[in-house]
Amino acid sequence: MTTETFVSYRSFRWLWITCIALLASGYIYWLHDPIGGRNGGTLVGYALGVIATIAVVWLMAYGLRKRSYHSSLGTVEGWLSAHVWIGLGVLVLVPLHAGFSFGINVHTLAYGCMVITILSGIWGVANYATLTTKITSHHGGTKDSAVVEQMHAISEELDRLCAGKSAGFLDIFNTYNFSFHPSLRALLKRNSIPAIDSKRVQQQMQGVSEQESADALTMIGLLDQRIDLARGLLEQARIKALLKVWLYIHVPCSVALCVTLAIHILSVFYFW
Amino acid sequence: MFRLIYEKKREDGGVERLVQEFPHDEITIGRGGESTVVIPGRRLALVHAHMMWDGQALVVVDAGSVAGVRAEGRRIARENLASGDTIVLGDVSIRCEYANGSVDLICRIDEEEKIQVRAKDTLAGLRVETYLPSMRALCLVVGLAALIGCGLYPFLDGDFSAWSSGPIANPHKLIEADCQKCHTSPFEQVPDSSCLACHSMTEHGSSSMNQVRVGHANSEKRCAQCHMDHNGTSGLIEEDARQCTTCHANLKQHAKESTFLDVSSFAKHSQFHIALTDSADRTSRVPIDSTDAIDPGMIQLNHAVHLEGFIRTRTGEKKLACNSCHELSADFKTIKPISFDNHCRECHSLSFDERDPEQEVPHGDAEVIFPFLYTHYTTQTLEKENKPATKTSAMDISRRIPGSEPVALSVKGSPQELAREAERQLFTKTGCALCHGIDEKSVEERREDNAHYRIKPSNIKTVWLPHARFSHGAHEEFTCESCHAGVKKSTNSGDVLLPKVGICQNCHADNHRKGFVSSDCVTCHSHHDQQAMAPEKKLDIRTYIRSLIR
Repeated sequence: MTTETFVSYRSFRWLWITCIALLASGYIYWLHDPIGGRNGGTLVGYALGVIATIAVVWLMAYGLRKRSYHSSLGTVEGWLSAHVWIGLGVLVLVPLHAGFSFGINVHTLAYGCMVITILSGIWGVANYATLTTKITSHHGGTKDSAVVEQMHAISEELDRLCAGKSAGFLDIFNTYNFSFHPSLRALLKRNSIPAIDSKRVQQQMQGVSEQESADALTMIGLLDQRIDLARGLLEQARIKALLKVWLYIHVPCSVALCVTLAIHILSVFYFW
Repeated sequence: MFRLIYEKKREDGGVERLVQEFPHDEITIGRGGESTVVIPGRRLALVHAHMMWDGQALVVVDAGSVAGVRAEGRRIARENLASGDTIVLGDVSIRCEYANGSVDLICRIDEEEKIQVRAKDTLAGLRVETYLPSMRALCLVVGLAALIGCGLYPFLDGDFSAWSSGPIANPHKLIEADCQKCHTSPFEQVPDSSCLACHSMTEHGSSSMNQVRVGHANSEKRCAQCHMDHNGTSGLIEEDARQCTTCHANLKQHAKESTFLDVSSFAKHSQFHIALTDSADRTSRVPIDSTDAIDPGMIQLNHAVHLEGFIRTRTGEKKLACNSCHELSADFKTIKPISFDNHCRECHSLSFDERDPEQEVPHGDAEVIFPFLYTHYTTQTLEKENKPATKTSAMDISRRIPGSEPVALSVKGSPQELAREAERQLFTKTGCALCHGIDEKSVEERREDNAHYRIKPSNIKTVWLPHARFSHGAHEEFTCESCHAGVKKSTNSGDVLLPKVGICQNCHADNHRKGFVSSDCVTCHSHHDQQAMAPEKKLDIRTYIRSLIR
């Protein structure tokens, strides 16, 4: 049995509603053949423009609804489902409104902002669909903060172990030691910390004296443990970053869309 | 049995001891609720370690935790613990003491502040927000940039091209940068006055743009409703029959007094109607296929004779074609008017005197013919008085085939009499009478020195279909007879030889019909002529929406 998500909410209710609305709009668009050609200034053009504007306002209202915890106006899941499917619908509805006429102007800029907003939304939905389940399986439920503390504890232990050791011992340490200060690039990249290479370690162990070999094995174990912890942390951080970074495109572009949409409507009637 | 003694530091520096008993021989220690002994250590796993007590020995086993179990600084997997030993599970240290079959686990959470602070910094580095600007700031910057760049800048710069809804028509390119030329007031539709400010070219004739067709003068339509700009660079005349058929398909609904027939498409266009004016100067419209359609022209012309075989001319025999008389104008659009000098004189002589066959009366004004003849015969008489006496005679130039020799006239008399006789011959038998309708003046109108005949107006129609335009040049690939059928058989000058609508419909059709030349109403007709336009019309929004629905 498949689990219902915001995409499949109530048996794809909003997908059906969007498809029916688009088919109706497309049929009216096809039926209406105005003098001068189809464009935003015809009766059907104005009607589709009004519908698209209402749809955009509705899509923006999702941002308010999801923060209104006491609101009883539908469920947030239902609103999100409508947000996703209607968002995809306006991608087609707006060209029907404009009669597929585009140019280098504020009107097409508004549509461009809409396209970027919707494409980033699709990326976000895809991230949520594929990545959210991977978060829960992290280190048996241990908190990130505990893992980081553990890494630091291991680092301190490694510092103690390395004190006064030979160059061969420190060579192994320096090979697999890393400074854990991730960058945005490391956050979004998979496996940015290399794992321990057992063959190389075996070669390096030949340069370690017998007195230090027991400590060296302990050190290698601790290094391996720290690398494992760091990679796990980074993978979790990558997933969390991917679940958030699309919003840095989606939300500002939707604000730009609102502004350019308002200017589009203003300019059309200013120069009526 | 296990007893957990949890030592917690108080804010005042003292230690608070919380005691909890577990009547088990085996326990699990961890942070999660599924553990028997739950300790809120940050680095503890949900289930961190197992601990067994068999009454003699205490055994601890690592449950596969991240932080592991450490004793005396070593990580251990399984170890027997002596009473008093301390094990470390992440940030939790547990001292184990047992005696009398009971195990006390004295537990303390280490406040490793240094590690916590470093961990806090590291965790911040794992959040994507650390590397990106604040979402609110980003939205504010993007929103303001869009508002200023797209909304305010055009007002500051005066360049509203970014607001243009589409390419401007080529004829308006010159005023493209000056939006106010057409859009005089914000939030108001383009008024007719904007168009008429430039397009009031009355000196260009009856088809000027500030005039509209009769019956359209009171129309609520503005110029911009038909001539939509920002809709592509091609012209502003929309070649769409629906501009007209919206009303003309059922004209009675829109104009009850109209006498025009309904037209819904060119395929259903009514027969062409020619405009004929009767003697009372009343114009009527007659279908060209009706018996009432008679050419009102007063020139007697037999097309069949002119186009049949060779014609004798002054310079020899010649085969006439349609364009021998009907010449295309310089712009290849219309036919030049017929003129006697250009098209008739080569064959039709206006000579009147056998002795002087090169001498011809002037063409164009009947009133000058008699004075011309009188002067001619007076001159002859004066010349004769200075020579041996011979008979003065006028030539009897009876009606004859052009090019044939005149027959001698046996009339004698004074120059006045000779001139009158020659005039009579010309107006009743020869030159003028051959083509023109002639009226003889009444006795009261006659004087000694004026003409006794009057030529009826030739009334050659130059425009048969005044509400339509046609370019002969555009059809020059076709022979004249392709459209003007029956010309070669026409013997009656009253025949109307215009093509009927069916001829045009053989090639032309509207609605972009395949295999036909696409022709809408404006291909032949114009909206603008005849009547001055009504003053500027402004529409309110309700009227505008109604016009859209209509």
